[in-house]
Amino acid sequence: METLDLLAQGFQVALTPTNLLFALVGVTVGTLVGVLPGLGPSGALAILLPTTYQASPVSSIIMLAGIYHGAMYGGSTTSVLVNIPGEASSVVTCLDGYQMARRGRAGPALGMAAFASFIAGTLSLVGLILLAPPLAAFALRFGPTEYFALMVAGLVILSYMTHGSMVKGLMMAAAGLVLGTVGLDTITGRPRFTFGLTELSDGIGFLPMAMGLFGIAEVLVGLEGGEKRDVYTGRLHGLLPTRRDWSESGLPIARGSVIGFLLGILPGGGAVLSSFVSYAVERRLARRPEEFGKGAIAGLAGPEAANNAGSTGAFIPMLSLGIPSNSATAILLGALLIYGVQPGPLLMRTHPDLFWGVVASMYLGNLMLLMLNLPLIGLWVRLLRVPYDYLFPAILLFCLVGVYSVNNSTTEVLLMVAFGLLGYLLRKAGFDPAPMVLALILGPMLELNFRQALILSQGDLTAFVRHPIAAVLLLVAAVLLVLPIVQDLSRKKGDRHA
Amino acid sequence: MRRRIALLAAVLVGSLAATARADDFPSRAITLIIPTSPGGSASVSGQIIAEALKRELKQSVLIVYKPGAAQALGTEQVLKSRPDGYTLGWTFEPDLASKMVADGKSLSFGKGDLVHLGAAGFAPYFLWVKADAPWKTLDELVAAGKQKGISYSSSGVATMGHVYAEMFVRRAGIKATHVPYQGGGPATTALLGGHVDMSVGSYGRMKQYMDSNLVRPLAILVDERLPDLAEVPTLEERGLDLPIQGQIYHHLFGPKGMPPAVVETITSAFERAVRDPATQQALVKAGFDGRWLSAKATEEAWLKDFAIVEEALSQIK
Repeated sequence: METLDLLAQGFQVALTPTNLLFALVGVTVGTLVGVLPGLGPSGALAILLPTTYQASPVSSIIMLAGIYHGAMYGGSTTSVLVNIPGEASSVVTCLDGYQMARRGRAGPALGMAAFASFIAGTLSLVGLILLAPPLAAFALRFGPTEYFALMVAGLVILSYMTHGSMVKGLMMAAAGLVLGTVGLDTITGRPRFTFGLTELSDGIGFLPMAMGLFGIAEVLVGLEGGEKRDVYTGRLHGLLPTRRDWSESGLPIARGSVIGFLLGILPGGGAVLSSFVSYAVERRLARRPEEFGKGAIAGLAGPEAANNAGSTGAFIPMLSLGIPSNSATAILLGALLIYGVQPGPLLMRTHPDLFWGVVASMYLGNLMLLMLNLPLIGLWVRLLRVPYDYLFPAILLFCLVGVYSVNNSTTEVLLMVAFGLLGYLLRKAGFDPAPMVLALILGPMLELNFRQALILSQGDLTAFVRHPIAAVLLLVAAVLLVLPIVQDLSRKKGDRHA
Repeated sequence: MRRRIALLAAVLVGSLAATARADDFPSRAITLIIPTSPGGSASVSGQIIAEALKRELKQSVLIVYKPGAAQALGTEQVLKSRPDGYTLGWTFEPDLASKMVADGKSLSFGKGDLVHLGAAGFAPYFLWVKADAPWKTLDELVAAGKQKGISYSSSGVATMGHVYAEMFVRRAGIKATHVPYQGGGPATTALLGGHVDMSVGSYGRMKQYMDSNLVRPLAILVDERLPDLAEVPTLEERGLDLPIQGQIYHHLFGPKGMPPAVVETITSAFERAVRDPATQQALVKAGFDGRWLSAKATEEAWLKDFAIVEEALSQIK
């Protein structure tokens, strides 16, 4: 009951006209910035942080949280409309969201993304309110051994990601793992495959790779012409999800919310995994898995729910332990310090108005995002009617500016162009780039945690089965890997008998 | 046509001359490059300093984050910029020195290429263990380390957390396993979760966990006790003095060749900016102490740190 009182107080804080205004400005600006490719939540936060100096800490954090959520949402919009993932979590949104847009269903795709995000946001805020402290304590038990097992499970799940040839998918994942080894070796500090270039010492960035493989390659394929998109299927229907869309999306949203929330709590890597774990789960459970990758709405709704729940879950270690779980929450933490608020386990006690005010405003922010985005869908869809002659150069320009703006690095711009050419060739050869991008993210984490775990266990490999959480995760991974093979074999056996 | 070209040339030359003139410095916005990701210690102190400099110089100070290669990329960008005082850097010391010692050969600049303009944002380092760890004192930790060995986390190879911890471990004759993490956040998480036994971290970062009884400081790594934590001994008192003051600080620098008048304007504005009571208050609230170092003292500190780190890293390798 005490929690509810505090929450009510939080709403009192969040519902003051000033704070409402700050939340509204935050989600609006966040959405706009998020729609620009490249500038994801962390870029938006870093740029807009100084504009909040004059306000009170509570108002500032409310606005910054709004920017964070808005930018996450805006990122999905570009994934659906032009196949450019602005964040690791929206790579998966590209897979089916963009295919829906290609089939003239951009409206329902954007609408479902908005609804799924809202529902997941609501559910995960309830989780945050009820479970924050015990969950944060549990997340601390994840050490290198447990993370290694989690990443292994994540990599196994990658093989479920692709449509079409599984061998090609695994080849892409392997290529991604190899590319992930570029950069300074974290354990020894020695450069690997950097060819003496200082710019490569932090490895190949996710953004130049993803924007090149998806965005630029899409433009190159489009330049060939011949591909027709229908943008509108009708004026009246087609903007919002249909009843059938809803019945196909309900359970995926619920499952996505739970997956996203639980993985989002883990500092470091959890939130990234959430959207594609959700995708893999939905594909596994779908009645017609062959539709995935061709515009299945469940393949959009689940991951969208998961990434929104994940970004809310990520606030738990930040608000209750002072540990940021991604670069965007790291900036929020830095902002708290500049306002003179010491984040960490004591935040709830020393600044209850701030903690609960932010929680309440996150909910209001989600609501505002929904209200803001539904009317905007028509506008976004109309954007697709812009002739290619204008749209393609604009996409290229936004990609170039977007990638440059993140780290102010021309090397990353060149990398993006190179990946664009590679993406074009891959597309021609029938390879799906998604596993490569995800493997690039997972590979370095997998390696680092594996080596940390072995340093801690003095080289003893049995550590991975002696830690219960790790053992369970590895078991899940083994089952996931073996199950399809067994099913395949028994099916073949059945064929022979028949 | 020719007249137009001449006019254009005159304007161009005029604008060049305007940027080179030192007596009206600063006549436009100054770019402050911070070579780390936003959110870390350099960004927190850098934003406080940028606000204060803006007040003193009556010009905007725009922060540009240029992370990568342990601060080397951003530092390089500052050093390659035009030496007119409009592009400055704010780095996190002595981590940069450590990076330069470790990877000196692959970098395009050396320790003598930085023109120091002053330093601020100091925070002492402590040795931390988990609050429920069996070691209540430094002596107990050292005894345990000698007997069965301990593990410690750092925010990466050749970062100061690593170098300071390794100096301590060697001085005390402890068997220790180093587990590098990527950044201070994960290194702290590893200590809180009990995955490692010890970590070396700044007071600013760790205070929150100490206040909520999750971690315990066993020693301070500078030669003076901290008034806030008067009961925590210095390593020196226990006969385990390090060759360096175990702390972080941040320094303002620019490329070689800035006009002396510009350097004078910046250094005096920086001193006033740091000593401003509002800045002092903001620094202390964010976990730093309010000390200021002059340009000359910063240069000396930098060269001294450099030599010590060089010595230390050659032993670690």
